[in-house]
Amino acid sequence: MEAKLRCVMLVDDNPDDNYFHQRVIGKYDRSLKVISMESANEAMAFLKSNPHRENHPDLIFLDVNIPGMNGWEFLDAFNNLDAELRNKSVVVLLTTSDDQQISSREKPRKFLADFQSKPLTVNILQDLKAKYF
Amino acid sequence: MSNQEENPIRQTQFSGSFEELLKSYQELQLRVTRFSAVEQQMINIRNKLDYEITRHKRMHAFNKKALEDMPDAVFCKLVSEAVVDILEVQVGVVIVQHLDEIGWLGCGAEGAVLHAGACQVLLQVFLPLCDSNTQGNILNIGESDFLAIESVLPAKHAYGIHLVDEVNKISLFILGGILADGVKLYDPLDKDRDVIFSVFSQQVLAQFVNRKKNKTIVNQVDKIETLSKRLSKITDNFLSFGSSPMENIDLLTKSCGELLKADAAMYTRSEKCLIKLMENNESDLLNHQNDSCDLCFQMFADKPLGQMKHLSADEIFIWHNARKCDFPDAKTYVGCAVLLENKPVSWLALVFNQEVILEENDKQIMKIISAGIAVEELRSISIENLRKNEQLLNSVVETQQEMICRYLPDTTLTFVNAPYCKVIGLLEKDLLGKRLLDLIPNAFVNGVHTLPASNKLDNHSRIFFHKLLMPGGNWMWQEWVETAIYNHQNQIIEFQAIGRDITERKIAEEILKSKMDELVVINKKLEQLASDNQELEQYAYLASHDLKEPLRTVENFIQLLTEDYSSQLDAQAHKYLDTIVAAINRMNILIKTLLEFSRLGVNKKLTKVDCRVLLDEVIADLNSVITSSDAVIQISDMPHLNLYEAEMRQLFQNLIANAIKFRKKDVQPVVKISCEKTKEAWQFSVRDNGIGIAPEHFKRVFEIFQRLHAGKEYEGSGIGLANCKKIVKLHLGEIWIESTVGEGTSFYFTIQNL
Repeated sequence: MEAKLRCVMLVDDNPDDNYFHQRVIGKYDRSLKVISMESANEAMAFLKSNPHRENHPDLIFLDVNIPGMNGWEFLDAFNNLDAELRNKSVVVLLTTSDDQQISSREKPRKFLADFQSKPLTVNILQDLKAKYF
Repeated sequence: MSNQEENPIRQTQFSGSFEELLKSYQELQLRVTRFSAVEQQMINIRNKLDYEITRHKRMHAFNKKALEDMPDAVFCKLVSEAVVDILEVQVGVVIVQHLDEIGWLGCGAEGAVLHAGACQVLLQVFLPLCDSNTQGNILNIGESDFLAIESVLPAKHAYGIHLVDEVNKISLFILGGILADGVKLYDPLDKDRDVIFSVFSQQVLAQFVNRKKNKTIVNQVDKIETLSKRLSKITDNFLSFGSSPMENIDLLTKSCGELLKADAAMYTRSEKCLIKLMENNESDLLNHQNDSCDLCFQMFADKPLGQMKHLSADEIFIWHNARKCDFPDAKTYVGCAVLLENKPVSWLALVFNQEVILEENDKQIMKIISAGIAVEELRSISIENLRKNEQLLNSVVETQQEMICRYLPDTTLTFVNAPYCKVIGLLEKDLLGKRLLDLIPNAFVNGVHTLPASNKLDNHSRIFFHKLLMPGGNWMWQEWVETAIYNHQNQIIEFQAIGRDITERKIAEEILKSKMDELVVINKKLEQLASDNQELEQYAYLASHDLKEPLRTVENFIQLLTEDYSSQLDAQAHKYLDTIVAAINRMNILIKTLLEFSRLGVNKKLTKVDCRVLLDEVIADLNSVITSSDAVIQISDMPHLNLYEAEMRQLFQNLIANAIKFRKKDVQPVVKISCEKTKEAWQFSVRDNGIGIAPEHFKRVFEIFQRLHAGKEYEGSGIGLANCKKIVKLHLGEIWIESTVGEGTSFYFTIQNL
């Protein structure tokens, strides 16, 4: 894995949350590029469309309850990607605490790196950077 | 007795002179004359005998009695007269004894029949002289021997013979006596006379033998005639029998007495001791000895038991000397058991006022009559059984509540019982012979669509129900069981139907059905309620969860507002923002507690818990509160129970925390926790010495978000006791409060050992 954090993708149907999290990321590191996706389908389509472009996300924050393809389905689709593509991104579920409780009933996903509760904070970003990059 | 060698005739010798020859001739002539006379006498006797026999045979035809009594005496008289002639003596005596009968018959020449006593006296003298050695020899008895018998035989000398026929059992004694002052002196050397007497005597004996044989034949013929008459009398009895067994038994008993010429005839079922004895039950006899009711028992009560052990049921019992019985003149008692299936059941008895010897025929007759009685007894038992069965059947049919009727295939009634008449409202006489269908007015029929089929019936019987409008206007439900009755050709000849009033049952069934319907409705409501409740909890969860999202957005954007525009906002605006943030915090707590409440018990897990250990852990968790408030916690004995451990932990935590939280100022809080087993559950109590709760709030405190105190004084979400109530409910228990304001509060709750 290329252990360098340059681009972050936010997958959440709530644009207010995406906006707020974008602000938090900016506060953490103004140089990071942020891509906001309001549906998982859209996000998956983006990942598949251009694997070699500059701004391929190194870190993906994924909400669970998303209309259309939900977070779990996104993870399954992610698992089916080419290994090269798959290895480019670290996926973190960013949900409410209750969603985390529910997720305990789901089968574990191999390429799910971490769980974090909303809202995203500078501290969380620092921890993840230390852990995965 | 002389033999051929010694015959005086053959010994005569013709020798010597003419005189001698003449003398011999004269002697011979005399002897021939005498023999001729004897011969003539014998012919006379035989003629007379033949005449008498013929006469008495004729007499027998007219007068049986004469035949039975007369011949011996008459014959003896004839022989006696012949003896006087032959022996030329003054008196002749004949004594005859039939050895198989009792007594002697004696007869003198004068024709007088000697009585038994006289015979005895004569024999006492003569029998010692006539032992087996002298049997058949001529006896010459001198004067001296006559002293004893002079009164009987008025003579001084006697000349006699004793003959016995062993085969025919006749003993004959013939005597000729010469009077003391006798006209003729008899010559003891006259051998011819001996011969004549001998031959005569033998002939007389032969005559007696013949007579006895004749008499035996006559007796046998007579007996057969008598028996046949008796048997025909019994047959007549059987033919004249009536229908009553007891009357027939009386008739048989009576004729038994008549046929056997008894003085009394009895039939009894109470000769128990004897009947028991025949069944080899000796103890019964012993028990019976104090009870003198039975006639035969009275008679053999003084006999040793051993004598009676050989009794067998098919024997006829004869007791002589029957002195003890109720019949004062009785001499002989004869009894015969009546047998049913070889067991004695009753007793036929005859009483005779004299000593009686029963002949084989008599016994046979008694047995025949006893067998006849047995048949009647059997019939009596059958009749009695039949009568009992009939009574039973009648009582069953008449006393039971069920309606019973019988009818022909065309529904014509042939039998109805009382309940049937009562229900139908008609009398038996008005019902019989009527068709069942015609009896039910069309207007009354409702649902009688299953009336008896003409002659088709599956499984021989069937059950059907119908509802009838009764004459009184009420409806009656009836249940009928209809059974077919078949003849020998397996054709249905009749139906029997048994019906009962099942109106009450039907009503009860209807009530039950409506109750069941109600129950189904209630159940559905309950199911709905449970489902509603679940939905509500789900709703509470979703609502609180979804509420969090916009609240977080508000929170986030307040933060952005502060970050981006802080410098542009005045103090007032900042104050507003602080108020908004405080409200958001409170909202967050509310949502959090509501979520917790709705999720309470969702992941519950039953485990065996030592409540004391659980409490110790709770107290450890509350350590900081307890320490800071200086609270004292007292715990009594705690049980081990199957519980939802996490939920129960929360329950205790809430209650103990509450007890400390609502303490009085300046009073050391004391919390006492105890547990006791009640009849249905385990009852816990958590008591404090805090501020107490007013009775009007006892219920309200368990409702969600209800707080009795303003925020700052006693902080809290108002969810704690609602949670407690929900946890207790999870353990199928109740929770309640006892409290006095200013003194303290006791929380009680019960739980089941799940």
